[in-house]
Amino acid sequence: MANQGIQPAKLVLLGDMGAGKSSLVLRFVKGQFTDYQESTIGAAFLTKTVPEFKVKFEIWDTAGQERYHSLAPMYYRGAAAAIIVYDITSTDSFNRAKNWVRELQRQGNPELIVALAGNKADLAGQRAVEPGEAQGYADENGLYFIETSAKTSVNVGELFNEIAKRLPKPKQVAKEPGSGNVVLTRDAPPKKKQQCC
Amino acid sequence: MSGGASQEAEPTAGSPPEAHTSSVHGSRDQENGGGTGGAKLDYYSHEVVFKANERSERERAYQSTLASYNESSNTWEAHRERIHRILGKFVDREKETISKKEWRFIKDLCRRGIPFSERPRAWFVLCGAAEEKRKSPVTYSALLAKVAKDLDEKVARQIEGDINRTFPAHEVFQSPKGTEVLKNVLSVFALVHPDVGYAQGLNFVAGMLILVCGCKAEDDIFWMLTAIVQKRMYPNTYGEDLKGCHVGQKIFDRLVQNKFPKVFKHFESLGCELSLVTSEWLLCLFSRSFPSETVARIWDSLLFEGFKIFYRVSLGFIRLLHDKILQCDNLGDLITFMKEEVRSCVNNEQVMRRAFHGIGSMRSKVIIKYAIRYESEVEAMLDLYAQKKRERRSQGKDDGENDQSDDVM
Repeated sequence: MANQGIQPAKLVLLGDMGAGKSSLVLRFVKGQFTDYQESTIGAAFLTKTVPEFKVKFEIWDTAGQERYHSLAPMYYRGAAAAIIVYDITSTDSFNRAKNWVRELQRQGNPELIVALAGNKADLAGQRAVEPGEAQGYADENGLYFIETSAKTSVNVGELFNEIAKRLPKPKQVAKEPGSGNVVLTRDAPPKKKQQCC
Repeated sequence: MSGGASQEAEPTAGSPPEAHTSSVHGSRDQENGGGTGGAKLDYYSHEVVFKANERSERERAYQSTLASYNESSNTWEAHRERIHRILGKFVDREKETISKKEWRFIKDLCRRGIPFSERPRAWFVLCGAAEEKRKSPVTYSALLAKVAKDLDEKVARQIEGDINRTFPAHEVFQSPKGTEVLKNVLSVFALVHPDVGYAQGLNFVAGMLILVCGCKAEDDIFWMLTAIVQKRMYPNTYGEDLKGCHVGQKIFDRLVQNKFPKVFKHFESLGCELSLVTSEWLLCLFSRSFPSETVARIWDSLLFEGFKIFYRVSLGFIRLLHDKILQCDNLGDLITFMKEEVRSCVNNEQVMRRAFHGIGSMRSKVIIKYAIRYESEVEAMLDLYAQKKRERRSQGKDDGENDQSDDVM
């Protein structure tokens, strides 16, 4: 690879339809947002290098509808990290997110970094899921939680940077991972609470 | 319908064969700055990325198609009349009176590309929609009238959520009429087919029909969507857990393995399944992936001959990119390369030539054999999957959750 020391990292986005998975990716990779993002069928693929952390994200953005769930294992297999996205204005989408967390936990990959993103934070007026509830759930399950808005770009960079930070370093393996900890790792140090927005 | 697309999509009475060739669209090309590459609109007013030289190659391809029409009929008028006469036989339950020569004429017409102006009617007849519509005891408008009362609320919400997410950059779907037609057609489809309901992917298939046939054809578009899903796509493509999609994909993988073993191994060595690229092709019959004029050209034969054309075209496309695929030495480059090639594939003549003449024989017997094998493999896989899903649910209930986010089938 041209950039020395840049490590590829497979990242997958999961979550209910219309939660904003593609929009988060588009905002992160291209800095763009569109009100009507074309529905994803199967999965979309994008890459983005974060030189600061020497990571090249290979991002799989999946389709959200429940029946597409049966395709998902193909996309999350071998992933280093997953972002589970829900829409803060929809409790259904939050429940769906919990379903994804359970599924990933059952895959039995303790190294997998899992983030929970409460998207559409700009629609706080129509909020249906309280940040406290999501934070509590994330703490119980060892997830990194943050509320984001792909529309206003609030916390989008933070979300991906935090994941980049937590990825295992190529040689000196995770003796001192970043400040927020990868709790799914078996031998991870005790977790600190991550403040959301 | 509003805007330039609609004017072009309407078949013009007595239009010359140029109706689907360069001259009629020449003005559009000029409006968009000529053939210097970059993003432009294709013949169905869809934005597409033209590569340098692609445009002139495409023009040449159309010219040769045009020349071949002139060989087969003395004049365009005579040619068009012949198309109408034979299509009429399909509609009037006179299929048995269609001679072998006429069947061959239609098959040939579809494989070479149906003239732009004849496409809406030809599709309606050849995909079996005309027959569906005639056989149905209820009319489309009667079904549409039931939607408000009888369509499951959750399904309606899912449709609503995708209406503005179907070809959102296209002017037709920025107009209230376009989105209304799309919503109506999908809603009636979901009502009539409770086993499918609404599946993401259907929106793009219906959207493509709207682009080609125009909003005025709402009724016919519904019957086309019905006929295509029932008779032209892999059975159960949109059913529970997308079972048919899994099977169709496996058959396709196997065909690639047989015909292009190097490509198959290359994907394997990069830890990548072909379906990462091709499941979108299968679920939308290419409509979300390729430029719409290429999709239309593929559908010309797919809607007549059926799903095997999907295999042919996909294999033809892989054949076209064969050597370049092998040069991609990491997964990211490979996927990006393929997606870009697909998006800019305006020279459909090139793809179709490979599909019909560049991949060798593809016998139905062999495909059926694979279908039987993979049906049972996929069933076993999905049984296992269903069991896991039940376990997750019961765990969820233990946690005091009420997950109502599942599809309504």
